[in-house]
Amino acid sequence: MAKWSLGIIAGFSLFLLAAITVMLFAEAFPFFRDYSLYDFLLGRYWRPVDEPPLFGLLPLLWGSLLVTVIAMLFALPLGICTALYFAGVAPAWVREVFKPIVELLGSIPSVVYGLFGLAVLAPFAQKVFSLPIGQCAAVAGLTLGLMAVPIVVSVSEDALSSVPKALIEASHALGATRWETLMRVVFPAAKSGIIAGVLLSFGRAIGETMTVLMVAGGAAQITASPFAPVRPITFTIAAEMGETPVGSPHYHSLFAIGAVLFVITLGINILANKYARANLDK
Amino acid sequence: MPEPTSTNRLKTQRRGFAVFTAAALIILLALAAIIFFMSSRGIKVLSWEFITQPPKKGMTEGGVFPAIVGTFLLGLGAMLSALPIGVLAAVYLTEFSRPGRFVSLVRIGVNTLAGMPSIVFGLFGFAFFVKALGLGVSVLSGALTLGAMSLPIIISVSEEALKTVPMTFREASLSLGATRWRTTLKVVLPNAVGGIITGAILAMGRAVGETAPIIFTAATFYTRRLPASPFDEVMALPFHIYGLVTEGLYPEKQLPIAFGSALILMIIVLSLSGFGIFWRYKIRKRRVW
Amino acid sequence: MNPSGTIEVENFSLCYSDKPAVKDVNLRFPERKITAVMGPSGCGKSTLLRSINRMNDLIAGVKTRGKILFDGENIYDSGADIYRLRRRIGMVFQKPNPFPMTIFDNIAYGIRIHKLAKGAELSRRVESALSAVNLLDEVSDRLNRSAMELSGGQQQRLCIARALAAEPEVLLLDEPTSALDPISADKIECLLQEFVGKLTVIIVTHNVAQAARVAEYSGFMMLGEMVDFGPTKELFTNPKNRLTECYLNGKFG
Repeated sequence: MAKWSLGIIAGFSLFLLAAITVMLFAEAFPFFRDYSLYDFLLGRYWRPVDEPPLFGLLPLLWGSLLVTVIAMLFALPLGICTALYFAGVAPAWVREVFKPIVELLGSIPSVVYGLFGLAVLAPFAQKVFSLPIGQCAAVAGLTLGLMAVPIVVSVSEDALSSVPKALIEASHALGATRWETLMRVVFPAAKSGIIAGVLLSFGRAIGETMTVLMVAGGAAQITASPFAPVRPITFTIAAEMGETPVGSPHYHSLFAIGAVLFVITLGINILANKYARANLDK
Repeated sequence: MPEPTSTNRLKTQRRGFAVFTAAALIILLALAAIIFFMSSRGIKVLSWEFITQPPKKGMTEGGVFPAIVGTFLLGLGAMLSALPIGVLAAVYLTEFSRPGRFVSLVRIGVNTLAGMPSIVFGLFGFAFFVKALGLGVSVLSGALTLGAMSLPIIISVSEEALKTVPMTFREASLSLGATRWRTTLKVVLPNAVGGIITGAILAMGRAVGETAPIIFTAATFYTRRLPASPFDEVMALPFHIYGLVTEGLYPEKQLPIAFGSALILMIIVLSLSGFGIFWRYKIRKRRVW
Repeated sequence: MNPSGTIEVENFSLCYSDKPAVKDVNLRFPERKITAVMGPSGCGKSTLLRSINRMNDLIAGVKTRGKILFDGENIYDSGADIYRLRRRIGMVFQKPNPFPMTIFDNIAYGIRIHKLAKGAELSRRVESALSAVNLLDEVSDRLNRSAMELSGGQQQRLCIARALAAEPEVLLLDEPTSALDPISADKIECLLQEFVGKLTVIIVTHNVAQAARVAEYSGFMMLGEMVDFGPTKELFTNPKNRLTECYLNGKFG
């Protein structure tokens, strides 16, 4: 009896997931009564208050991707190298002291990073690169990258330090240096775990709202310049939800882009879990 | 032919290690710089009044007391809603279930929820709690939305805590004729409770720092009072920071208040997470029973 | 083939942060023969073995005293090149520990890091190492498959081949068959006989019968001390020390 009632409670997370999916798509669906899916998915302009309004996904998707890719370009090399430092270079006490500190820094709220980006990085970029406004894809990406680093370090270090000691011993016994052991044995053995961590932080970054809301600038445009302001999906939802009447096409369009975000992060997470499992199986 | 010595290989090692050490230094310095900068700007406005007074004169003066209270209300509400369900779900997964389709489905569900962006929870909370259930923009809607977001974290840390209880404890109890339910209540849970509380503190640390889920569900910028009931709107520190820098009319006066609020939020979140992380490491180390 | 491969242990002691593990051991391992070191668990036999290729360096808080001479040179000299030392003194562990890479890359590992050969010569050496442990026929069609797919016994022979590929003069084996089934263990014991005259082999075992089967010389360790050492036959028929006699008769261990 206990088993069954507990099972129902455990099933609640499935119910919640289903409820989120249903609500999201149910609120997105009415949008497509007025607006064609084709124009939504391939539209190049997001002008929700124009007459007639344009709800093109592409500039928003582009904004999300550009900011996230810049964030990853910053966070991945530095984060993985830092994880390699903790796992293979640092003395034990350094690792024991600083690994928890890095994890702790990962818990700093995104709005704090956003404020830092807005008040420090954006004015700095504006001055150095003489930009019309400091809030742009590059600054948003850098801020987001700073925020992603602790996750990348923590997950990669976990993967690296879960490599069995026996492999490290085997490498040393063959006359390998610590460097050779780290790069030729430990790193490859931890590869799938690191990839899982990379995907996880990519998913987090693309779904992150507050930092981009405060520093991405907000212009819905498809631009190759990292110094131009952009309008990621999360930015758009957070900024426009409060200013649109409930039930309007604009309102439903925000659920539509929310559903797109949901699908993207779902895909990334499925992939990440696959790699994480591959790491466990080994 | 005499074998070459390992000098060159050690040179490569030194170079490689230098690169990794530099990366670690850059990261630690950058993060330290952020903390230092935010604290030094925030500490200037921090005072007893700032913590205990409501905002005054159109958010240009006074304190953030209602936002601090609101933050704790939302955090506690989130834990009250998510903790019972999360812990019982974890008990089911570790103590009562056999591997099978249902369990793996639940795990996939938990993983999916864990990876979902917070703004999606915000949209869900608005459509479901605020509108469909008619709870309105309120403490209750916000707490339930944050609770939904915290559920996967609570399930996974509770599972981890339950798994640290050695199988021999369960076997000892079961072999004395105790039922599985009784074994769980009397033997497993008491030994896992520290880990579960630690996890709950960590989850709460994350919940109180979140902004995106409460923008549409609970938070308001233009109020000065404390909520009178769970159906009232509420101020919250993260949203207050955002509001001050984006909707404020007097940036030169409001930016310092934003930094002060950010410092308080950081202190709250870092003490919750710091406590959680510290205990987690301690519990993991203490696994020699 | 190899000119030497002598290991002489002189007044050697080792402690793990003040806990003595090896106490004042003196002996000379006969070159290009098989020597077994026996003793109850915790007697220091593995520690002594791991001192010969300085694997104990990896553990924090280890202190050593005395000398271990390899071809007349003290391996604990401050100028000693431990990477070269470990190439010349190979080691096989209790549990098979192949790298999670292909069979080929496992064997090639030592050759590559020490830059001993490349290209066709590398392949040739990999194959000859595999055939030296009688594994080549079993795996020749799947050199590019993961070594993790092999059985436990095959994995252990792969680990021996991996050590041999670096062309060592000494091979240290730390209870190499204790994690294997009897048939796989027997294959490895037979294999060791083929190394006589080519390599100095030192095998640590708690299995008295195994020592009797494979080793020409045997030593018996107890509480960190080498209490008995000599030709295996002598040691077994006429132990000088009463403790050795008790151990061989199964009174403890």
